[in-house]
Amino acid sequence: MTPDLLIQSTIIGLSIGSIYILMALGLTLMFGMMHIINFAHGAIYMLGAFAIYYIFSQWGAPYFAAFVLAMLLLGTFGYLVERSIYRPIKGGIEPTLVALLALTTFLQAAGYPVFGQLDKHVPPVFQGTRNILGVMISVERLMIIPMAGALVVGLYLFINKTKMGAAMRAIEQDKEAAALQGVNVHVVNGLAFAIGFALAAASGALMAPIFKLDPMMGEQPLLKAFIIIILGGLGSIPGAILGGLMLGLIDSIVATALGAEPAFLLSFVFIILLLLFKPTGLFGYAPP
Amino acid sequence: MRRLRVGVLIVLGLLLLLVPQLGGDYYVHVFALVFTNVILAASLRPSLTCGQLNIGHSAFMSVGAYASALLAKNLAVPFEVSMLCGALLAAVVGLAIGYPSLRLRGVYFAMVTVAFVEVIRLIAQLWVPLTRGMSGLSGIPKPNLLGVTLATKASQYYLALFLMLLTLLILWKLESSRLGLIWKSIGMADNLAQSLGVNIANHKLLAFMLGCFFAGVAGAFYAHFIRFLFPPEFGFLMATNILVYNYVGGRGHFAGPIVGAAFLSLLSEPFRGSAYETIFFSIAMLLTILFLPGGLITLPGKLAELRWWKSASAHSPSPAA
Amino acid sequence: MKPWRSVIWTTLLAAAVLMPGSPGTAVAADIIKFGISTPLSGPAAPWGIPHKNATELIFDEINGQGGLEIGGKKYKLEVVAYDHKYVIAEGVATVNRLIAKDGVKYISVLGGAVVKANEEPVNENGVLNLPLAYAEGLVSPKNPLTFHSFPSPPETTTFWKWIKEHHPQIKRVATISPNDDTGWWSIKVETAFVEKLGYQIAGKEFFERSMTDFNPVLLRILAQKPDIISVLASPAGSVGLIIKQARELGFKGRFIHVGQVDTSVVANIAGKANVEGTWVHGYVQTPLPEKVKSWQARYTKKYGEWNATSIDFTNPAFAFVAAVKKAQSLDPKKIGEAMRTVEFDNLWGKAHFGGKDYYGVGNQIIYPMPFSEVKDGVATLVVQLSPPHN
Repeated sequence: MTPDLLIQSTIIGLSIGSIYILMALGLTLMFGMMHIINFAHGAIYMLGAFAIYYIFSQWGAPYFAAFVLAMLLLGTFGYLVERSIYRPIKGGIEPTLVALLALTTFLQAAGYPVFGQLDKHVPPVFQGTRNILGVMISVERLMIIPMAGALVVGLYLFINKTKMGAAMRAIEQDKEAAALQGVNVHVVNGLAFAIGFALAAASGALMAPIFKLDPMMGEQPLLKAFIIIILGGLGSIPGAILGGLMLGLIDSIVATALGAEPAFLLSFVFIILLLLFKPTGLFGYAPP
Repeated sequence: MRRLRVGVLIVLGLLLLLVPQLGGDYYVHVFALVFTNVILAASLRPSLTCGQLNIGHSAFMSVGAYASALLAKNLAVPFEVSMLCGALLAAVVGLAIGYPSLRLRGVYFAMVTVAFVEVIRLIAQLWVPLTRGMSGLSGIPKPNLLGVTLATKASQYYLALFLMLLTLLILWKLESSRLGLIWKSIGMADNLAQSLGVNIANHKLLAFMLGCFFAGVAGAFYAHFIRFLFPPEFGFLMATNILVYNYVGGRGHFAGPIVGAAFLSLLSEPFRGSAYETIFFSIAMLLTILFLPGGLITLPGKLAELRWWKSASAHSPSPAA
Repeated sequence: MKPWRSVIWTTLLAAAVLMPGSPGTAVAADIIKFGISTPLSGPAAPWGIPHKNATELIFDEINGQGGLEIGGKKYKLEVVAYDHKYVIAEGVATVNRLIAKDGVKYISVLGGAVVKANEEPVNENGVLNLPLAYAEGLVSPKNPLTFHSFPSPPETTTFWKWIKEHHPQIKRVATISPNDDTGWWSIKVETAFVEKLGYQIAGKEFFERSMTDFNPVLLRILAQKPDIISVLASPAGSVGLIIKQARELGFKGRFIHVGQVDTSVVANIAGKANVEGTWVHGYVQTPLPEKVKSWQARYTKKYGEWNATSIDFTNPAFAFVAAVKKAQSLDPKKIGEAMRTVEFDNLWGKAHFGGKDYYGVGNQIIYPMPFSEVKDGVATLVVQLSPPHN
């Protein structure tokens, strides 16, 4: 592998990394706040992308408006899921996981008759390519970086600087104590679901013009998001950022050096080793 | 009451024995796979009882399947030996992955199992000289059991039935024994169990390895029945299905995974090959989880409650009157 | 011990639900049942749906004219179709259902791995199979009743001869294909053929079907400076992404897919300008010969929207009908014998089954295959070629 190729591969890797960070955000929040692995993350990502398809591409709304609408719609869906699935199961972690799995299966299977069998596309929002250190990157991929950044900053501010965020942190530390302090646990849980879903939808919406749309498109992002939050430590936002970048670089450089298949295998082996020897990841904390 | 229960069980047993005569090759195929699913679901139960959320069970089925298939195809090993080898190999692999990971709690353990399913799948895909990778391993011989080749689907069906009953018997005996009690105690309050002198790690490992062993058994049968192995088949989807059989059937009783596996496998059959198959399946899953959180095994209990409730309210005056 | 009751109830319920459907007969009254196991949902549905539709349309038209005549008696043709979603277990279960429950004796299966998984059941039951699949070893003496109804790489790679003649400036070929049997076999055949013609192989890459970001792999390939990239066996969505991302990275050469792919879907994803000059087999949007235009009108009338993939997927139905007419029998073996000698019309011209010199048995469909070049976003017919082996 020539030095030139290595540099190009690194740049691509950073671009991929920013995409991965975006994918991991919603999952990080849901796990950090509620200790739930949102198995439906991929399906919601997919719905976010399709929301953009219909609202922006088919009905002609401006992209930003479509984006916000997608987040609101799926955020509401998240709240409804909390009320109708999570709450009645009395918050058991395992049944909730299974229920989310069932939800995912349903959404993906129903996507085909509802959205159609052929792959769809969304026209690009940003045109053109730029030359970065010898490799041409499309502007739309470069724009992921500031957009992901904005979401990360927004999330961070929310968690650490708002009352709701404080309430979430309180519940995460000690549910009963928080309730005694007057925090309405149900509402906050609902909000956590809503935000988690909205973030998943946001990443799907941002990714829609870059790749293609099909009902199974959320599977890969789900898997990548899992790996990232393991790498970075479940529940940690800085961890998710670092984890995303690391995974992006690994995926890119190994794939360019050795080919796609070996890269795929190596990433899983890496995860297993990490889990066995440092299960809390790079930035995580020990589970309760 | 007892006599009725025994009577119904006998009728059930007779029906199962007569499936080849009553149903022909089609139902033989369907039920043989249902039995395989029951073995998979029941073998996952000990792990779940210990509180280990294992979403990787299909990986061990894969190990058992490939091992038995390759031994039989390349070395003409008879089925009883190749199946045992496959199951033992699955257990050994389970030991290798279980020993370091079992000290991980809850979510982390689940993640390792998910990652592990993918690793096994990729190994099967990439180790082409051995497994023929994505071309699929074909030409697997029919089960050669104790010198007799089980050439007809019906004979293979009885093999599946036998393996399932044997597996269930062994697992039932273990669960009703002191071992089963220890597992339950670990699942409910492991710190407490530990303080009473229970070696949690070893018992969890045992539950895990036992599950892997029987998953290997199921895999071996599957390999010699379908006679074509394709790495993506044993992926995340199958692993989650096995987990779902346990949850939908019911975590609280030994019969839970049996009911779950049988019910869900059979439910797909009328919808087999229709575009709505997965949709109905997932809706059934969701409804069961929402309305019968204890699983299907609680259904008769709930129905009984309903009947009691109705008759109770029939006697009391209605507020509207 | 309440849970035991639910075990009992479950099985009794299942029995009640399933038992009434006893195994049927293939020829009830005057009906010939033809089975189809194909992906009707999921990523491969763009192939499965036209497969089912084309067969049903042809059978409808024959039924409309009174049906198929065998030994003086008229029979109606009926399609029994199941969705296998490209999952092997479903593929095996659907074929099992067709053979054992529906009593079907003639089927058409789409999908390399699914057809291979069903090789033994098909052979053991003496069922006639007219698959649409790329799978090494599928057409072979050990599958005497399997007649592959679609050109595969050993046939379609002949197009490279045409490229060599008309575009001599192309010298270096790179390939990207899905990481499965279809991809491996296709690339094996294609690279062997082009190397014999004197081309240099500038890289061979395989990807997981779920992959969407090809940038790292493309970096690897483009470093070898290929003039043309073959995306043989890749589905339309992946091809669209490959082309889009390769263009972003600065690749200016052409793409080629001698399998079959819907270039309108590719053009949508990659951008019309980016797919200019792409070569493809088996997919033509214009100009359509009369016969094909007429098919387009009939297909659109029945199904409401046109799908050019259906053109080549008419082969199983045409072949079946022609062979049954010639054999004048319902016995799969006799129909198979007739299949080897019958000549019939498909939408591109005269077709027959041959290829004995290459495969060892004459069970591969042979006809003048269409090749197109994408011009201004539209797949334009460029030439029709016959395979190198007859």
